[in-house]
Amino acid sequence: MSDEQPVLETHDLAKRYGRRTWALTGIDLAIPQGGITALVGPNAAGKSTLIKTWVGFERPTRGSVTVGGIDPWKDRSGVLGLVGYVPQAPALYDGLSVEDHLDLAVHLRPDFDRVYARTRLDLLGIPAEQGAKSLSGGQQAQVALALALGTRARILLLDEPLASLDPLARREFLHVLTDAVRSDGATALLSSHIVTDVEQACDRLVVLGVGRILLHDGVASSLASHWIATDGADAVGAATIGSFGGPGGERLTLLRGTPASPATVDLRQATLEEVVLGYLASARPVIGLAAA
Amino acid sequence: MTLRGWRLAFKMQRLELLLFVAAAVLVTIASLLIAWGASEARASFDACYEAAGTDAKCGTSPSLNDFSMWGGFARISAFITPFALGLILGIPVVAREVEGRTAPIAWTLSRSRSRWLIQRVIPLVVVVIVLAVAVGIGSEFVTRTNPFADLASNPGFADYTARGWMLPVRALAALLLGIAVGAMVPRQLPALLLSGAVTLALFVGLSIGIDTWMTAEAKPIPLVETRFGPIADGPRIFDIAYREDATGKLISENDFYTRYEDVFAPDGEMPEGFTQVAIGIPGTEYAVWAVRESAILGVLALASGGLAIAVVRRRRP
Repeated sequence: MSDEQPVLETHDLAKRYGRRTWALTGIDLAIPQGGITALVGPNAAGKSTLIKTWVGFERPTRGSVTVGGIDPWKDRSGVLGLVGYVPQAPALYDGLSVEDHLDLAVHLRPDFDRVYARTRLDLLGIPAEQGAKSLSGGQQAQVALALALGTRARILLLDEPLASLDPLARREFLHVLTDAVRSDGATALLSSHIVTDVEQACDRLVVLGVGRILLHDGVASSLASHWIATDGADAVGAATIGSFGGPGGERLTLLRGTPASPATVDLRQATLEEVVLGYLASARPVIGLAAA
Repeated sequence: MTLRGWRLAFKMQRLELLLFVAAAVLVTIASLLIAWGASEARASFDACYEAAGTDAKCGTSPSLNDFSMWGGFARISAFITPFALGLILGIPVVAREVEGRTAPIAWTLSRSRSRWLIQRVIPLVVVVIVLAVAVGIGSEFVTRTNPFADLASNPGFADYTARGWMLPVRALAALLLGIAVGAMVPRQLPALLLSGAVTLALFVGLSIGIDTWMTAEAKPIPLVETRFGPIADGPRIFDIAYREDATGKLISENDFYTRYEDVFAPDGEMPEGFTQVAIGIPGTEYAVWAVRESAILGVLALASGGLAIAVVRRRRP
């Protein structure tokens, strides 16, 4: 597989639960090989559903998904050979120790790299003999990440593993993830609704809102190409994306492009959080900062 | 299947396993002790009876009644064991994984869910069979040493739902049924209630079906007077009110006494050439029927196992 060829793809992907609830509505997405892509969106945006279709846990109602060119619903085994997965709020086996979890991984997947996973946990000071039940939330997330990393999979799918972690644990988790991805040349997709955390770790950004892709771009280019205008100000040469409430109650408008004369109006470079909020606002009439 | 796999499978269900190993060991040891005590008491009683020619003053301590009662408890325990073993060990295999949200990890680490399920189930199958065999052997002894029957050489159909090889077969069927229900209803308590109801319905249905089948194949069995009544060699009896004439023709007791009402006269004699018979299956055919029931349960177990695999392959974790 060449570097340019996407490793995760969807074409017109739609997923419906029951008769009426659409979690995804026609998504076209291609994640290239290498680096970490943040999948950002509010609750119920469809982030988990999208990741689960790639793992083969959910069957698309319409459209197609591929992982490394393989359809997970047709060849789940083939896809699982390529993928390491960290589920949302990872749960470990209560009665097993950390060491037992590594044993279980070797038992279920004979090519699991036990030494690699164990080394990662040792570096974090997580005792192997400790029962999983007595680990902190952050440590449990690290064990789940080590289990995914130990597969030495080329693709890592992480479904909101940061959601229940405190800031320090989130920082450590992201540090381990970025280190592993950079050193192994893997591709990671990290879903989250905590934008400030992923800003430091991710190379690309996908904003998902109400079941569709609102933005797919590099983090750096997103920051470079988006501006914030306050209180309804407009700027020539830039497209208005969406407006949302600022922390002081002011009205902020996200603009995309290169404004002709930034000095004439109150313009400044957007933060990544504002980029995300602006796009989410474009999908909903009104959105406040709390939604982030 | 590696040693590691066995260890992990046992560790994941260690609470239920410890409970059942302890319970099965207890029931088996208690059964063997009851059988041994009953056998000793009966031998003592028989020796006394032989010498005295009457059962007067031939009581034992504990009494034969006590051993009969304890044997009853052992048989009830043996009857319940396969269902309890199978369901309580089987239901958590998938249901707990889904309920405890560990399934996403297990089902992505293992590339094949079918293989994952089989690897999880094999150790349980072995444990269930070993424990049920142990309990089955214990209850077999209890039946053969029943103080109020002569079943030592051939218990036939006596207690056949609560002894011998039917126990591991039933336990295996209950285990796989429990796994299948646990896969379909991935919440342990609802799955336990549902699988209990399904198991009850299936086994009552099977029991009625086997009885109907046996009734269709029932034949006259000559009744032999023993110290414990007109039954020998543990037949499965459906009707005892028949007599058979020398030509093999059957006549009901009612018709017999209507036809030969003279037997009630003060000097009346029983007409010759008639044998009192029961309609049933001779105890010597127990093995045939046990194999038939085992085959039906085997098909049920295979179907349940297949259903469990099909559900696990398709379900959301």
